[in-house]
Amino acid sequence: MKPILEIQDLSVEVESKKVLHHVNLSIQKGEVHALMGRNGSGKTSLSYTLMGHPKYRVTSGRILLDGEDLAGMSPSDRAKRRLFLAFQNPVAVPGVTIASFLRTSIRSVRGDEVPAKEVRKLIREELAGLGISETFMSRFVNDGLSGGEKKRLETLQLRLLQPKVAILDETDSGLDVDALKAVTSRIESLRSPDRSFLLITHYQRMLEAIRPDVVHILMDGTIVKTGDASLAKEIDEQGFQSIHEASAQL
Amino acid sequence: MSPYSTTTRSTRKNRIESLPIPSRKDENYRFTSLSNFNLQQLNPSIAHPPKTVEPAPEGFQLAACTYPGGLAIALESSSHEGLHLSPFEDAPEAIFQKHRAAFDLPQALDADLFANLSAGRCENELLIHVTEGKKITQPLFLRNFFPSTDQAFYSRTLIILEANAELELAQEFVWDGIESLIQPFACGLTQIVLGPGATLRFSTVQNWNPNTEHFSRTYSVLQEGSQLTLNEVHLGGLKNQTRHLTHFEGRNSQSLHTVTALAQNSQQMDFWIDAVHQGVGSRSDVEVRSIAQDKGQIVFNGKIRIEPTAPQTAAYQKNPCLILSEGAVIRTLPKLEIQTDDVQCAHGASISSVDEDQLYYLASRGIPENTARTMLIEAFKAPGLRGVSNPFTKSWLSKNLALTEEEQ
Repeated sequence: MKPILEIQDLSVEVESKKVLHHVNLSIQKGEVHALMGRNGSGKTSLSYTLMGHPKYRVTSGRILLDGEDLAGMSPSDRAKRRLFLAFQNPVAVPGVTIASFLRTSIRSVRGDEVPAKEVRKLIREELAGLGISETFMSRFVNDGLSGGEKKRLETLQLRLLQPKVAILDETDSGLDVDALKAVTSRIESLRSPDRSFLLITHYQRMLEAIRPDVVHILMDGTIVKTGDASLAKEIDEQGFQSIHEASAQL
Repeated sequence: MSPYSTTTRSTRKNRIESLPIPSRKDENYRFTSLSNFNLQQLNPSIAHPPKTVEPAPEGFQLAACTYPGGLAIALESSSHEGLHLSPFEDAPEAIFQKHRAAFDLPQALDADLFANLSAGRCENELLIHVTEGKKITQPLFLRNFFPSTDQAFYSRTLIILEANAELELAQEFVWDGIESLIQPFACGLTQIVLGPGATLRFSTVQNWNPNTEHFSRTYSVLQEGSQLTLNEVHLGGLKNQTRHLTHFEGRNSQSLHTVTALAQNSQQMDFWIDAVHQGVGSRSDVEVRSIAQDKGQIVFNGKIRIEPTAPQTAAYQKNPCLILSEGAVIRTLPKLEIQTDDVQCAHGASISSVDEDQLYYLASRGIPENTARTMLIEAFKAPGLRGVSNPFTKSWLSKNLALTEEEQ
């Protein structure tokens, strides 16, 4: 079966610094993959590259989304093909209200799929599901929001844009237990045979709520180990050191 | 006829003769070049009343239309109790006597060539007066209309609000849209006197012919507890030199002043804004939002002066700037002159282009780059509505700032 997302021999540099080396990763429709690794291992670089950040230059390899090569494609065109990145540290956009941003985004990605008059209803339902007040909509995008509010806003966008492939970059960080529960349950409920996830995380706790089919370990810009959900548990118990040592011996 | 026309105008005309055309050395605050500037060729035009007068924008009442050499009062003073609108000549004697000094040029502008030009050459000065305690609930609209057939336009407006009076006012500076070879010259003086506890909310949009050389002066005196909210939008003109001088005479007087300026093509815009605090606990908050593209140039020269009589003053000046082209230039020149302790005072400036990380974030949500860029520029301009609460004023300013109105 053709993978929904396929990363083939991907090498990337940013400002002349090599950050990813010959990464291969293949996600089938409906699968949940977890990508784990220490700080600075290249996890966020991979997510930015997948979403087409202009500073991240692909030096070799390719990325296929549903069989289509994403090379040269703008971030907005990738989003329109239903690729989604939930940012670890989403940038603040003072002056742009969340309401205006979400409406423009939904219209851009989903076009006529959601009639204009339905958009507001849809947003209201999703706000309620995430326990967010409607007054939130008049605030500026990520401006003055707490860490937890930012993660909820990213999750809200994930649910509204209905992607085929969602990359969640440390969506669990900075959340208290209750917030983590609310966010993971909304993500888990999106799981379907037509939607795939790449969960980027340091920790096991998010993966207890959203159980992955495959776990990858990224070190120094290279995937050094791939396994099933038990690999995440192993990392949680033993840390990355043993894998680091094993990969160093190869 | 008030003694104004025979004394002040002639005094100011004589003063013009003694004042040199300022050089950049005299006025380091500006970009606007005055080389080839010939005052003799800029005599006041003969009155050409506009053939048709556009109605005021929705929600406003047209109060007056000023045009080169003339003034048309559109609103009967009797339409609002406590409101008086007239040429200076028809000012009631009691108002003239009480505010005699305001009918003349203040000492602080005595050496200002352009203030003198307005006071000496304008023969159609407009007086707006609101009596004590009266609140004019309907927003009033002033139009300064400069047709392409005229070369020089001198205007002068005196706004006096007595104690606890209240007024919402909007003013636009427009042309007829007909291209001509004439190099238009506009010179305007506005004086504002706010009595104790008075409130003036004043919004202006300058949208002159792109060839216009525009020089404006605004002098405000704020007495105890009075409040001035000023929102200015500057879009037009080739050269645009705007000077504000505000004296916070009274205890706890305050102003909120926001300027949004867009300089494109080869436009030059200079803003010179001085806040002079003399009263205890007075407050000034100035924000000049500058956007320059193509070869546009903007300079902000802001000065806060806090005199020994004004402890507990809070004074702020900010100049956020957005540069959209490599050839555009923005300068910011803040100055502080603090002569007493126990004050809060700050100035700040930031200059940036459209933020690439913000663009990427919006684009990652499917928003095309051009739309995302427009959203970010709109976001930069949106604080131009700071302090505006009247929905009609908000809508009028939003339209001029090309802001997308929020869907309900």
